[in-house]
Amino acid sequence: MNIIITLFATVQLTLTPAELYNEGNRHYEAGNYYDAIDAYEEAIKQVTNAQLFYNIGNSYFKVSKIGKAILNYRRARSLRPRDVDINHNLMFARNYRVDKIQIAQSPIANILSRIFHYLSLYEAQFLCTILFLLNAISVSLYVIKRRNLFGYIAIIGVLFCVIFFVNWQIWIHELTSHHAVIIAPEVKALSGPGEDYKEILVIHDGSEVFIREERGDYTLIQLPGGMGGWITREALEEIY
Amino acid sequence: MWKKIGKFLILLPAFIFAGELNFDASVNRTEVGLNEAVILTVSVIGENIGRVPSPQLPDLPDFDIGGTSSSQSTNIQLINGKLTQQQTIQFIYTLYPKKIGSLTVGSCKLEFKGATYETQPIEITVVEGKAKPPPQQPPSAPDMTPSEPSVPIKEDLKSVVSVNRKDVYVGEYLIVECAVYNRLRIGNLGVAEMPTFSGFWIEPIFDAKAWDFRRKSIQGKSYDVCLLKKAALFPMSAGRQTIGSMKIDASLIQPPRDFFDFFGRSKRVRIESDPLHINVKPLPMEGKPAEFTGGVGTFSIDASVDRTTSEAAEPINLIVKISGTGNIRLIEKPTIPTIPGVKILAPETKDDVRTVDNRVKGSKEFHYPLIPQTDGEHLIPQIEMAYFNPQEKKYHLIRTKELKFTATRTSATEVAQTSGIKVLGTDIHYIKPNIAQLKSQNISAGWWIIIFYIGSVIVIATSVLYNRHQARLLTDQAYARKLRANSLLRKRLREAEGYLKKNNEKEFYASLPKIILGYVGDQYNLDIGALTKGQLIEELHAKKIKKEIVDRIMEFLNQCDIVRFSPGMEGQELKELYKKTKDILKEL
Repeated sequence: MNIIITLFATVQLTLTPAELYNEGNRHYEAGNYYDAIDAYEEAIKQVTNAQLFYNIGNSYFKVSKIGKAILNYRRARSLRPRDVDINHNLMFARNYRVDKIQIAQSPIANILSRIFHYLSLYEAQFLCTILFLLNAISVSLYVIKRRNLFGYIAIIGVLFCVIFFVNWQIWIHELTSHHAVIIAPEVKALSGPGEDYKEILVIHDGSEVFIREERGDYTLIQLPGGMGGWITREALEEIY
Repeated sequence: MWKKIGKFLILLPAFIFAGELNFDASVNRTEVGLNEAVILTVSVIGENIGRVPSPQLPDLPDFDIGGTSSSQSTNIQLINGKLTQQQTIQFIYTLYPKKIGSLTVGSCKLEFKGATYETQPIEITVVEGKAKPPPQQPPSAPDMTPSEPSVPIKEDLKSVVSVNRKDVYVGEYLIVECAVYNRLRIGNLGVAEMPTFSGFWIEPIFDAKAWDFRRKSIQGKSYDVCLLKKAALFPMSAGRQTIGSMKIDASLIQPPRDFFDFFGRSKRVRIESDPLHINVKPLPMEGKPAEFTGGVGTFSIDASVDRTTSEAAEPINLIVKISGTGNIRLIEKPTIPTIPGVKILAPETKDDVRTVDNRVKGSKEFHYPLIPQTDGEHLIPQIEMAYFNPQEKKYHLIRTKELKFTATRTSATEVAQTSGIKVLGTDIHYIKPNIAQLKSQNISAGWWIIIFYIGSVIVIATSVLYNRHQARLLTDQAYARKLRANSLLRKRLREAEGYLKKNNEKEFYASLPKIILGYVGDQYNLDIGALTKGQLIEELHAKKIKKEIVDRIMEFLNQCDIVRFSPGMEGQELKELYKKTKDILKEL
């Protein structure tokens, strides 16, 4: 019996990510969401793929693990920021949360956020780099040929290059600022890193937080509104 | 745990005091005249009975129930150092016996906090005329005395229900007025029962909020008249309809009988109006048009649209307004003829009715949303409506004028309008489909992009350097000559080699000093041809060229001059000389 299990396990390990993914889809279509999650998670160990993150997010949503779903949708979105399905489901899952934190965001900030999340980090980096090279060439041509046309091209190019660079830096900031999602159904935030501290907050599945400090088994988190507290590390998972 | 105890504590007083509740019924007298009132007092005494419900009265088929009132009093006592709060709630009913004989008031029931209480039944003897005075009078009941000098109240205190006409068509309204006429001294007045208007649609005109008597002279007698209610009644069905009587309770103040009877006495009476019978005629069947929609009175009709253009199948409101006098509220919607290419939805109704000088006037609007389904100009045909004029006793047909509107771009939303897409719910979007290969996607670009930046810097640097070089070539002659020195040298060397191969000795010798001096001149920007040998040596020293090299150059030049003017040199020597030239150039 043991041999069969180990054999099966080894067979499982030899499956390609695409096969695991398709198997997950089959389980999902049959309604066996937990099996689908297992297959997808196995595939995630091998590849990073927006489609995979999206499907696993769906599976978690179907078994009411909103936190895990949001986590995976956000990972998917960082790879494919313009995907309609990913954005829709992320919004949908957010509306399903217990904690509904309303942050008054100014419309300008909202628009800027949307503009700078239009491109993924990869795209922003790529465009910025290529544009930089083209700018260098047009500047060189201007230096040698002294034609105004090249000068104008260079000026416009530099503007775009700066936009893409800002875009790039925003993504870098987001990826390095320790975003995390609460994955425990309910967790109590304490005033210090230990059981004996006072309970100050109750946070539910799916809340998106920043990690500000880590000490032992505890993490100091901050909610978007500014409130925060220490929670155990198992209750959350970092997005990036 | 604490919650349970708390609940118990709350319930405890209820259990204790539930048993102490006292429920009792009494009448002010047990013998009463047929037209006189009996006061039935049902009292509840106990603690914490503030929310006691009204007791349930038994069936009283032999009595009319006049007025109902209740009173409440609280009595706080300190007994043996304990504070008790006794509340008394009294429900007082005025009963009027309907027949002579021995009548029974059954037991009243009260359900309070789970327990049911009952009172003892009470026997009441009803006699013809006036009964003996009651032995005791309850404080809340007004004074009741036998009326000794009987007052002819029939004429002096009247309850009157009057209508302006008694013979009407169905839908033709009549105005009813309910009033009290009085020329007596009265203490209390109360409406026991308002007339019933079953079979009529009531359009209220006036409802009295307080007793407001006005003096009026009727047939030479002056009365105080209070109008209680005025309304327009629209008979709904044909036949003999009855308006019930209005019942008023009054207590009359009797003139004092002697000096000590200072305030006089009062007497309770009930007055009733005569019921009225209205003859309602059905509308004539003959000549009744198909367009008749129930209007009785005089009406006019008008139609309008709120807009004359519709874009993208936007609905246009067709407003049909019917105004006039009569049963406006009861008019039903006129039928709109079908308009090709336009969908007519069910109308919204607004009405505005008021009564002026006993005439019910107003208007009713039907708002039909029209949804154009084809582009172009649409014609709304005349809308016809018929009504019955009760004065002329005949039907009238009225119609609106034609209207037009234009629709554009109807097809844009036609599908949504006709098929009616409905949002039943929302869910997450479905998973992404199967794929043959799942490739890893990079969240960020690798380090290779640095190559592009380095490349870009190189491109710019190169261009700047090139630009500087070009500029120097134009301005700095020495620089230009120096740059050209090597290529010129190679050219001259090739020439010299050419002479060597052809054994053209003369030319060969002439070319060798040119090579050396040309190169030196280019390299150090010297005009060699214009210099004497001595000057040349000085210049070369000034350029910090080693003395031995200068010496070698000079020696070589001398050698060349010697060879040039002494012909007959062998090929071997020529080659040697050529090699020597190259050596010097290397040194330089």
